[in-house]
Amino acid sequence: MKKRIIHFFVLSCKKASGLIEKNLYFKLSLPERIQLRWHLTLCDACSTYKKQSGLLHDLLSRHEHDHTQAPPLPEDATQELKEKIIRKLEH
Amino acid sequence: MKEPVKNVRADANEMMKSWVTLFTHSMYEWAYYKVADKATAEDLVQETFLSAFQSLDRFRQESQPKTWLFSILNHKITDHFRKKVKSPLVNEGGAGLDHYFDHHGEWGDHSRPQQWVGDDSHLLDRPEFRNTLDECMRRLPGSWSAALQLKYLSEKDGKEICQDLQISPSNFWQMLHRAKLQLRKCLEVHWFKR
Repeated sequence: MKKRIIHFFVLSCKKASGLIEKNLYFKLSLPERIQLRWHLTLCDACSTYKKQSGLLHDLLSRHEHDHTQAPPLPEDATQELKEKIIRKLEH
Repeated sequence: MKEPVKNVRADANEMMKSWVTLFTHSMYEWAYYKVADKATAEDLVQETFLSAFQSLDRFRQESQPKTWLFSILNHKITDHFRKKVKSPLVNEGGAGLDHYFDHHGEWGDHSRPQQWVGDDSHLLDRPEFRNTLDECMRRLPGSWSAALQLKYLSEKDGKEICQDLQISPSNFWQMLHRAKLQLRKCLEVHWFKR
């Protein structure tokens, strides 16, 4: 029953989780911010989602451009490529 | 007066060649890891050196050549992802929101977020976690993972990315919403609840 009331007056979890994502990349409007805050005070599942989504955001920010993480390849895999690039640079 | 100019060019040429020798391998490893395709990775590395050679005057001696080359390479990789997000060929697949929510818009029983044990910021120190994260990224539909990588590799804000892609902000975050739901679920199953 509590859930129905939240959804009716505030937001569904579907929309709330969408706003949690939107908030990571864009600014929320004032009504969106208010609705989301209300939803989160009443909904444990979405509060958990918000925490996990924030963790993923942080992990991806650090992982996705950490070029030291690339798995090593055999040295001779790029010998031909090096020669090809040097030839191109000479022309 | 022509001689010194020629020397400068010859020096630049020698310097570039030494960079090719030194950095091609690690640049290729990174590009290959990102795009998972040999020919594409080779093209990206080659284009990076050609761009670098043409804009050598923009290279500031105080910055490390490797850092500079990797920043150009990352631009090339994000360009690649930008094309991939827009490509109609990779847009199929991926669960819609109805997979996670019932018809009231409430979390479904199998998808309601559970507390994760041991969720902390040191996860990235563990190579097994990074592998799991990579594997879950690979399981996303191509355009979704491209959108996520575009966001997190370029460090541009959402508005700029949408301008680049010429898509609306709501299209973009709705795509990332579905991508994050799937990624979250995948990590929950394969890492947090092992």
